[in-house]
Amino acid sequence: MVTRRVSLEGTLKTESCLAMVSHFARRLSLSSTIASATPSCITLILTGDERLIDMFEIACWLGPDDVNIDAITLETV
Amino acid sequence: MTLDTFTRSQWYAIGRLPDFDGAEAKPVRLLSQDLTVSDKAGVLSVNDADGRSLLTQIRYGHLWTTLSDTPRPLYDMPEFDEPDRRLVTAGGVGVRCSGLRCVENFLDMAHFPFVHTDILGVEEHPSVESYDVSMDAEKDEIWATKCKFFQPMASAAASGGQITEYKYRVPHPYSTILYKTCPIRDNVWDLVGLFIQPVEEDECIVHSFILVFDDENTDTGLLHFQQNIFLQDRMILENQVPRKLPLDPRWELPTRADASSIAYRRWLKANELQWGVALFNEAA
Repeated sequence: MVTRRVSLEGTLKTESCLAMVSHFARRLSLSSTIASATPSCITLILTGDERLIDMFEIACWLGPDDVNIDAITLETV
Repeated sequence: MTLDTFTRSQWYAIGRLPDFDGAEAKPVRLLSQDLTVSDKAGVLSVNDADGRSLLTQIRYGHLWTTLSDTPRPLYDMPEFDEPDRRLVTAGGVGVRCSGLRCVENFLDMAHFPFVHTDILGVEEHPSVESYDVSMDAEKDEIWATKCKFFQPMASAAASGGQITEYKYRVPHPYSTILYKTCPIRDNVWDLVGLFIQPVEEDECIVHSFILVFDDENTDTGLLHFQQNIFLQDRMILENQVPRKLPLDPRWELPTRADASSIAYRRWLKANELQWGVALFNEAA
C-alpha cells in the first residue's frame, strides 16, 4: 500500500472531474480524499496498491467529455 | 449524429483502382451517404446522390474522395516512392463496428498473444513494455514509438521469433500505419496500414495494405498472412460493445499499455469528433 498526492491540471469542470475521480477510485479500490478543487486544478490523496494508482492516472488522462486534462502529477506522501 | 467538421473534412479511400475498372455509376457508401463511382476512359469520378461531383485523388494504390470542398490535405507516406518495396493491397473487408474501433484495435499490442496466438505473440510473453506516445503538432498526428514485442512470426518473411520494434502512426481519424522492423534488411521499416472507409457510424470497410521489402514470398503469400491476421481481429471487433467508440472514461478502465489508445481518444476529443462515437447515456 502506498499513498500519493495526485494533481490534475487543465480546463476542468469541477463537478464532472470529481465524479470521474470518485468513479475510478471506487472501481480500483483506492481510498481517496479531495485536498482541493478549482476549475484549473484538483488535488487528491490516494492510498492503495501502487499498480492500481498507476491505472488511476492513465484512466484520468482521457477525462470526461467537458474536461481537458493537460497534466497529471503524482507525488509520494 | 450530425457529421462533424473534422470527419467531413478528411479524404477517404473507397477502393483499389482495379475495383472500379469499367465502372458505370458503381454504388459506394461513405459517411452514411450514397455515392457512385464511374470510370470513363480510365478517368475515375465520384458523385453524390444529388449528382454533385466530389473531389478525388489516386494515392497509395487506392481511390480517395471527400465530402468536403476544402478538405484537409491527405497525409504523406514517402515510403511509397521508395524503389524495391512491394505493395500488396488486401481489398475491402466489411466490419460491423465503428471504423474508430478498428484504428484503436490496430494500436493495441496487448491482444497479440491472445488473438494472434503463435503469430504476433505467445501467451508466455504477454507483457507490453512502456513506450512513448507523442503528438506531432505541426502535422496534427499521433506517434507511438519504442514499442517492442516478442513475436514468433512477425511477418510472412520472418524465419523465427524475434523482438519486433514498432512505431505506430495515426495521421487521420480513420487511418493508421504500423512501421515494424524489417526482418531481412537493417535500418528500414516495413509498413502495414489500414485505410478505413466509414460506411455508417457503426459499420466500416477496412482497406489494408502491406509495403515491405520481401524477396521470397509471393503476393498471394503476403496477402494470406495479412488477411489471416485481420480476420482474427474482425471476430474481436464485431463483438465489442458498444459498436461505436466510447470516449467517456467511465466506459472502460485503461492501463498503461493503452497509452496510444488514450492519446488517440484525446486527439479525437480535441478535434471535436462526434460521428462514430458512443454517448455514455446512449447505452448506459
